[in-house]
Amino acid sequence: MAGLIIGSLGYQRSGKTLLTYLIAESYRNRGLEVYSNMNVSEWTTINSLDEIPFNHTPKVLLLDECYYFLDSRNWSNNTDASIFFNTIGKQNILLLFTAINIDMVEKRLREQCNYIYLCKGSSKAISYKLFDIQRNKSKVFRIDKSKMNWDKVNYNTLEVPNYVDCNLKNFRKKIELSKKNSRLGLG
Amino acid sequence: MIDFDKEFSSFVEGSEGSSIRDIYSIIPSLDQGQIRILSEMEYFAEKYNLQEIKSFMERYLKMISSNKNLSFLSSMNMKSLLKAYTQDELIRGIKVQSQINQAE
Repeated sequence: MAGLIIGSLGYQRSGKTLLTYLIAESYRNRGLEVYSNMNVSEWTTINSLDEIPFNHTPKVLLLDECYYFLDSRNWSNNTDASIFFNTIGKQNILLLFTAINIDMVEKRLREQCNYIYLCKGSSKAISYKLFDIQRNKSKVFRIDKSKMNWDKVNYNTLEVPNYVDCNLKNFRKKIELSKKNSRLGLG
Repeated sequence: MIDFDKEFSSFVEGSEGSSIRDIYSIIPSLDQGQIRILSEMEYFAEKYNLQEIKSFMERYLKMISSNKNLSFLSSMNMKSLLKAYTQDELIRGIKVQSQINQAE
């Protein structure tokens, strides 16, 4: 029982955001909270990673076009970054991110990916290849555009996703508080 | 409680998508001469209802398909294909487009 890190890679208009949106929505329909830098009415829009509550409740974090802010050069405090990505599993977060190429993403995130989706769009369908990195398996599937119910897709495909502040200055405080609560038996 | 890993692994589990298996399946077992001879044998076996020839061919094809000649693996095309199929290379930055072209 643990969180996961899943990347969705592809060129512009390849359907990578659509796929992560559909995954996040499927979990929201099952009662999970979705945190994202996308503006979707039923989701919680975040501007900083600090806004995600530190607990063990399963939750989804969708970071669209994450190389805007998750480039390794942006991290000034590597210790906090390492702690944050290592606690993705412990915090039960399903981290979904999209990027054009995996090389554009922060190294710590890149090397802890559990699954990678490769996406390719055409006029009739969107093709996906899902790689299970740890088990060395893959699966190909496609979404037929004519069979897709576009009314259910509730995000603006032309909108630029928000920049997420990755400064984790409050993150250590949250961990300390969590430890303190745990010692006191407060959950 | 939702177990993300279990859900995603079960989704991939049902597939035949092992890179090694994919590569093995595209390696040819027969050359052009063998294909021609086997096709002719099949034609005559059908025409004259030769059960012994049919069972011989079945046994032969079963053995030859599991005993592939791997000497051509040294060719550059094959090396490129293996590279494209290697997930380690993929994560290091094989272009997405080349992966997708390979798949088609």
